[in-house]
Amino acid sequence: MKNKKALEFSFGWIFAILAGAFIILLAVIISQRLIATEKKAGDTMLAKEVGISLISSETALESSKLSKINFQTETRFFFDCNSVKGPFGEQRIKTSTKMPGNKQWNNESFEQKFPDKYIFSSRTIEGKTLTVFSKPFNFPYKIADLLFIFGNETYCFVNPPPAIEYEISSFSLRLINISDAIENCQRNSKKVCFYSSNPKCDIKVDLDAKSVEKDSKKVYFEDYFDTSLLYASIFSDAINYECQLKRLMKRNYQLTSLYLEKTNLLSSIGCNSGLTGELNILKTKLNDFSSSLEIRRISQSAKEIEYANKQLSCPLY
Amino acid sequence: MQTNSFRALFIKKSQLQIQQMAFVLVALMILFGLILVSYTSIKISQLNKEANRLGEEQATEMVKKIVSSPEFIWAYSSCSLCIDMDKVFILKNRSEYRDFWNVDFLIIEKITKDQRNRTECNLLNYPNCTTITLIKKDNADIGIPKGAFVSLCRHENDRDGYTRCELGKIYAYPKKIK
Repeated sequence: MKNKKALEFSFGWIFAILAGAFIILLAVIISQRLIATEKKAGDTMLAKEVGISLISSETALESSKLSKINFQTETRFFFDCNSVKGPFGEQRIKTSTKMPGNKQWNNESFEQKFPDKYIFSSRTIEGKTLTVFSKPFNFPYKIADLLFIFGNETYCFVNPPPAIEYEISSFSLRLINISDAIENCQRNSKKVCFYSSNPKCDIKVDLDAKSVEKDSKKVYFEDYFDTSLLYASIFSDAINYECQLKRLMKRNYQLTSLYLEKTNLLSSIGCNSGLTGELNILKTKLNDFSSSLEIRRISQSAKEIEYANKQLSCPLY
Repeated sequence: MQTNSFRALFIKKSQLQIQQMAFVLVALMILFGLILVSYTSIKISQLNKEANRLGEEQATEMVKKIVSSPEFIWAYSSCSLCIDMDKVFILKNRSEYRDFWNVDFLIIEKITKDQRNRTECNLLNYPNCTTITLIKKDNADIGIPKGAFVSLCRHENDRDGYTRCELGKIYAYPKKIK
């Protein structure tokens, strides 16, 4: 009757087991959270570092500049554009890293915002090395440096005009190959065709209409002052291109206002440029800018300013 | 009677044990809490230091970059460290650029023989002045700003017009992360 062979636990034991389990669970949850926060902070720092590294990738007086940024671990970069925030819009950069041997990517870092950067690339780039190529954008004066960022993707330019072919060759970019036929392009490369409607082309460039078609979306560029917008429309998707172009026009608006005030300042020392009217027209057009379709209309005013400025004894820029 | 007193003693002992256990648990939780708080504060200060280090690194690069930005550059000749004094003077009153370069402090100074006699540029004394303060944020904890020598150029219209460049220095300090 007395020998029931049951395991007897005192209240103290049960309490200790429950409390112990609770403490261990709490410690596990907290440490997991801390590790995740650490990773996110590290990735956010990395995003900031990318932004800083990009400063030295920009041009000063050079017509173009090529640089590489290396990272210790496999990294995913997210580039986003906001054209509404503030007077200049924002370039947003996020990163996410992957530990060696780990298949899963960490959570995305917090966004780092840069009002003075203009990145034209795929929205997401993966790899240990970023190839950064920069070119100044003039319209008619220098507006900003455009940054073209590449990861592992390669491009194949099919039958580009001699001027573009020469320029591409001078960049010494291994990521861009030039071919005379689409069949000679590497299989995984993005095929950029000039004056061709071949359905095998990923990107179609029409230099007469000054348009680029990609993923069934058409965007427009202007190459009178330089070819930076042509490359921008090729290397980025339509949404990013339109957004960055709006930001560039916002910067141009501020610069035009600056030159307008400079005209008045120079007039006060007896050096009248007579450009006030043209600058005011350009400023109004820039203020109304809404899509790349309008770039040609605006470039007309920019060309007039460029022409008039060259005739001045004390030029504006 | 004896059973009752034994039972009361047992209950008392158990209560004491529970109390002891509860105290130990509370002490453990406080210990964990303290470790967590100190770990978090150390990490936050490390993060702040790292962020400010990045900011300083950015400022060094930034000074070079600001000089060659379209808002500053002297565009008539190929001079990488020449600043258009007129454009900079106009920029002084532009609130749009307050947060553009991510700096708390941005000043351009002309280097003159008498460094003690410094005058801030305004509409009445320009160009016969020495300092253009572009950004100087109130209550900003400004450390030692980064500086670079530059040429401050502008157009002079007398003697048939010529370009006048003077030696100057640009100082910048990055925005502090709070």
